[in-house]
Amino acid sequence: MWDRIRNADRQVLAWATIGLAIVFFLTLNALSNTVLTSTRLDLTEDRLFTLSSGTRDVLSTLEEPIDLRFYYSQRFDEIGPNIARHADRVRELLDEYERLSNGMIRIEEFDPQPFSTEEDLAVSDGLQGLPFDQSGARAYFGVSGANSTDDQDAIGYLAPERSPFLEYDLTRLISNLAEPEKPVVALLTDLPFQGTQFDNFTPWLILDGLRQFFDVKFLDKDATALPEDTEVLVIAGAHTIKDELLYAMDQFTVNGGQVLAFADPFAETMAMLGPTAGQLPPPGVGQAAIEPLLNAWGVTVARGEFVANLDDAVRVGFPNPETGQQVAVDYVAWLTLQGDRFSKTDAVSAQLQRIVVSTAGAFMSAEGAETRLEPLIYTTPTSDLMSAFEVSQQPNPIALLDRFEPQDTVYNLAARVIGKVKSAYPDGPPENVLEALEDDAAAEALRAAHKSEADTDANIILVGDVDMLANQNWAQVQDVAGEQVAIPTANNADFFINAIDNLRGSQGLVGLRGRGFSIRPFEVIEEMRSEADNKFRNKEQELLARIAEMGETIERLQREEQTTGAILTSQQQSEIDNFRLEMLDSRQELRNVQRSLREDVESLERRVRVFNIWAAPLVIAVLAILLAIVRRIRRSRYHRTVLH
Amino acid sequence: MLNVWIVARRELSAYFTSPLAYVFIVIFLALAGGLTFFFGQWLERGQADLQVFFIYHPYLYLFLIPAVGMRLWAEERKSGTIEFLLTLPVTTGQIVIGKFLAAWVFAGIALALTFPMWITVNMLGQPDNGVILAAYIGSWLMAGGFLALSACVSALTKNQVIAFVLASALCFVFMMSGVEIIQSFFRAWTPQTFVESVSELSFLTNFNEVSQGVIDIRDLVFFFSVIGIALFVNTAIVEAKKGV
Repeated sequence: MWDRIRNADRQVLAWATIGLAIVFFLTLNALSNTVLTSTRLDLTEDRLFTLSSGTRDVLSTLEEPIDLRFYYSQRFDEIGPNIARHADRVRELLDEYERLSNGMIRIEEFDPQPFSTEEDLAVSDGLQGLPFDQSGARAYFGVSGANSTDDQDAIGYLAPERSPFLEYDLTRLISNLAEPEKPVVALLTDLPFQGTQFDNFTPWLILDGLRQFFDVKFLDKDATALPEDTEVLVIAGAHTIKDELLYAMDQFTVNGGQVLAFADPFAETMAMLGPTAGQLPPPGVGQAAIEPLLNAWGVTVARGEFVANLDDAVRVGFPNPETGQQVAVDYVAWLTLQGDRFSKTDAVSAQLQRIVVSTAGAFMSAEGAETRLEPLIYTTPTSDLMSAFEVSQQPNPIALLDRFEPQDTVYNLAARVIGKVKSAYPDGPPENVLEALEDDAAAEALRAAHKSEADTDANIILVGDVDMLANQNWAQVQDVAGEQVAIPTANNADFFINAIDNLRGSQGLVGLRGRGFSIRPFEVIEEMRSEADNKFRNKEQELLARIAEMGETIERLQREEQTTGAILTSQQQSEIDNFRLEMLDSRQELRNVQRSLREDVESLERRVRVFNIWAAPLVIAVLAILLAIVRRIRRSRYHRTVLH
Repeated sequence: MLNVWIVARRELSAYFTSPLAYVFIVIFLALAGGLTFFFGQWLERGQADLQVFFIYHPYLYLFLIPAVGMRLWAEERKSGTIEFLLTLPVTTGQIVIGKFLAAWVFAGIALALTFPMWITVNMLGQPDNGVILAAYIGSWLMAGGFLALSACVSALTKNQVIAFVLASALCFVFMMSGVEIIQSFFRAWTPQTFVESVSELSFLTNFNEVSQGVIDIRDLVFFFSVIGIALFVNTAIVEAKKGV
């Protein structure tokens, strides 16, 4: 009886302890989730989860308070833990910002319910509501901010897909509010930056990016001067420039103005304008338009020639015109530059990981130039300068590759001009510019203001490709719950905006761009594929030439037979038959070559699969069997010794 | 501590004298590899990371870890060796911890034997090895969590099959607690804050975060508290069943 009670007691006690333990477990975790924040060990190579020094600089230099409103509809939790986790991350990051800002940043959080005043506030703050269900109710997930002078800015929707860029997006928001007066960027271009009739005049994504930081003023075709408050001049694919404007730009540079100039041998993006724009401008015009300035800066370009490169060529699918077969071929005009193709010593390029260019030109220092070029983006020595006429009309990547001859030269695709520049007009303003002026007094004033040499070092960055700014070369637009979200695939926009920021001496966000972005391909397999394709193409060419030659011989012999009426000798007939057989053999061989080359990659993949799935289990299995045998032998020996 | 160590060593060496351990390791390795290559399309993705390798670990553990954990106590109970074990000059807690540690080290060995994947990814490209290390740590912690729960369930019954099924079910609830199917169950009758705290108790969410390359102290608190509490409950169950 007593035993039973004691046992029962013990059981009740045990269950009570278990119950308490579970309560303790729930409390501990609830506590840890609210109390412990931002204590984390970041093991990623690029320290993606650690606040960068750029953000810290922006926060520590805030002079005026900034109020942030964080909107998060709790209903998002129902979608799944990922979006809720992303919201947690935003919340923590904002707390960290608040902590580092010395009280300059204040944060309020809202959970906007459908048809509430919070929802009205969210909408008026510029948040994008996502349709949540059939009822038309919307859910919100974004941040808005205001500074002491009531300037406003917002991130309309914090897409989890953009989570690697979260810090950049938030810091940009704060930096914009801290410096509401946006510096003026004068943009001269003939490219469809503001969209075309084919895309309903949707501006290029890069323009949206640029407008987040700068007041962009487009220079129209008839402009003769730069806007007065211009801080940075961007010349991006201008095909004709009025003399007055060219002179104004020259004087802007000589007076220490900041310039980002693109000199592209062939602007492929012009084709986007469609047939209404008339014919594509011939190669080289974009370079020729600013060549006087380039020369004055001590720089030359190979007009109408682009840098072809084999190491970084983009692989494209292309139907071989001779066989009609779709082949993968390295298109040496389009390059994907990665890793050590960027200068690590210049802030503009140090963080870059991937830049995509199409038919880019190169910059060289002119003979006897007093300035020098500091490379920012460059190619490997497996490069060649080729005429852009080769690609301006119906480019043939295979033919291009055949004519490609590596020159063992490294070409600068983007560079900074170092030193004091001279004016392109050493003798003062050109006559036609003076004549165009209204009166003599204005002409005299212009003459008096003329400067033929700079007093200070130049602030000029040159880039050889303007197509790099077009969406298709650096971003994918994804539809996320009805919203268009840009996901960068290359650092082109980072480079562009960094260059402008850097020219005007602002460094805060420069180091932040390019973070959170990494593409790590299987280099070995890609290299093998590329090598196999090249081998196949060479062999293919050889065999195709042989097939063509045989075809011609057969045709010639048959023609002779028809025209002369002379019946082919049996020797000739057998020759034709032999040729036919040989032709069939050659075709067969071609197929075999293709198969055998593909087999290299396939066999590597097979080996990798087998090695990873079966190698370790097999070794373990064999080991287990061996151990079992050893044990059995030992046991039988033991039995023998014991028995005898 | 010494006693824990002695128990753990005895248990661990016992693993490798039975064929079961080898069968387990072989199945784990072959499945992990197979899922990565055939379902995860690792080669076709062309990315030098092990994301698709780790993504299947929670699901593999869901039935492999209860298979390891089911025998921890149920077997002792069935064969009657538990009586002998409990008369040894060690406390129940020490035995519980020792048994768990042995099983956890065993799971660690199985996990470490997937190193050919790590070699391969480093040969084919340049992966972020920090992220891979974090994911391995996360995977091992998750295995520990599953194991502690399985050991706990195993102490409840003599029957290993029942222990396996119950442990799998319990692990499933813990794994999926951040997912809507479990959440909607609670949402119907509990306050929002409770639903939120349940979602934080998900193996999947905590593991996903670690496998991205960042080890948060809250993830550590979560995994170690699951292990600690499960082992504590395990001890209480063994104590309660003493002499029953």
